[in-house]
Amino acid sequence: MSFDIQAATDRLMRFLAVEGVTGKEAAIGRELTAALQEGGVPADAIRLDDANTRIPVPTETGNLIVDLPGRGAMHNQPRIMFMTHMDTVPLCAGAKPKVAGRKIVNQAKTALGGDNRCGCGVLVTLAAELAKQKLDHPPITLLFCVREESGLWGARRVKTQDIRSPIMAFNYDGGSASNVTIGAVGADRWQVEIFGRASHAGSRRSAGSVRP
Amino acid sequence: MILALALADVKAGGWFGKVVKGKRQGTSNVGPVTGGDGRPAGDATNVVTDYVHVRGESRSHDAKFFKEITKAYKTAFEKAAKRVKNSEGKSGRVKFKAETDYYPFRMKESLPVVKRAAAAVSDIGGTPTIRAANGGLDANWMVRHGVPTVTFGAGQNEPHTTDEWINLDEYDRACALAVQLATTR
Repeated sequence: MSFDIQAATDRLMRFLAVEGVTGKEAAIGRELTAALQEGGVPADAIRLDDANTRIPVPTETGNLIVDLPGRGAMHNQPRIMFMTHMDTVPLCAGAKPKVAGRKIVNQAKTALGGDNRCGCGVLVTLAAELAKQKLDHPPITLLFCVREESGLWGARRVKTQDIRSPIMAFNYDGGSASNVTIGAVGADRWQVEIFGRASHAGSRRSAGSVRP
Repeated sequence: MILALALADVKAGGWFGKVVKGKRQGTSNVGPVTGGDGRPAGDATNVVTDYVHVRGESRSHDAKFFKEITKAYKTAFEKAAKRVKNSEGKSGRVKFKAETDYYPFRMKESLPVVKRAAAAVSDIGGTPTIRAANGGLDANWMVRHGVPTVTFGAGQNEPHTTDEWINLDEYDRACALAVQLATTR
């Protein structure tokens, strides 16, 4: 499919320039909202959910959810969803992105934030191209999750009625566009408290005499 | 000392790092060892440390197996606590807590979402690689919510490091793929 490659790169650079470490997604949420509107998405199709009120760690904002009604011959087909996450790891704070050939690199000694501003760029480019090229498509939900990097919380706490119950979803988070990831590990996190018996290292423990 | 004995036991039993038991595989790691709330573990060299807080994780594609790995840690800590006694013969004790962070999933390749995903990769001139991830994804929760979800890359490389960079060719392909997926009849 043809699309405006320069506009897509410009969008990615724009999102990389906005700091938005995990739990602090308000600014990148505003930037995404502005870029979506510039791409032709009406303001009333874009909103934030209240997932952050159900996340047990402080989170500035909810997930950003966009509803694109279906168009043309496919407007009645079942709804599908495209998703990504809009937070970065804390190591990305202060990144200075620069285009170098067919790469984007970082001029600061931080992580860059391609994880996951790349996904943000893909979803906004999709919305902009569907509008600009007036392409036929089924009803589409776009979901930009918060707090992926600190416990997958946005996706964990999103309500299916808020994303309008799509029949399938495509998530963007990784390296190669040819990788079709259909499974993932599960995990436990555990903690243990060990209670010993405080005593003078040279006395009761060894039953010896008390020395300083 | 309880911590050292417990971890030695875990390692001897083959439960640390990459864990392989027959056909089942997983991983485990021991993370921060502290005195709790950001304090160091122990106060002075001449005081026997009476409190240590340790955090760790267990992962597997097998929903039962990562819980088994966690259980091996729990058992090792409990055994170690009983083995360390002070001069009065009193042993220490441990309080072990585990919770599931996210659940594993594996979708059938015959599912419409997987077929549509693989077909779209071919349509834009790529060769689809069907795979499973060794880390958690937002897709873990979407699948749990009843929405079958395939995950693609979009150009990120060496994430979470200061060497991170973006492959613009893959990013462009991910954009083309999204338009293809959205407009496939």
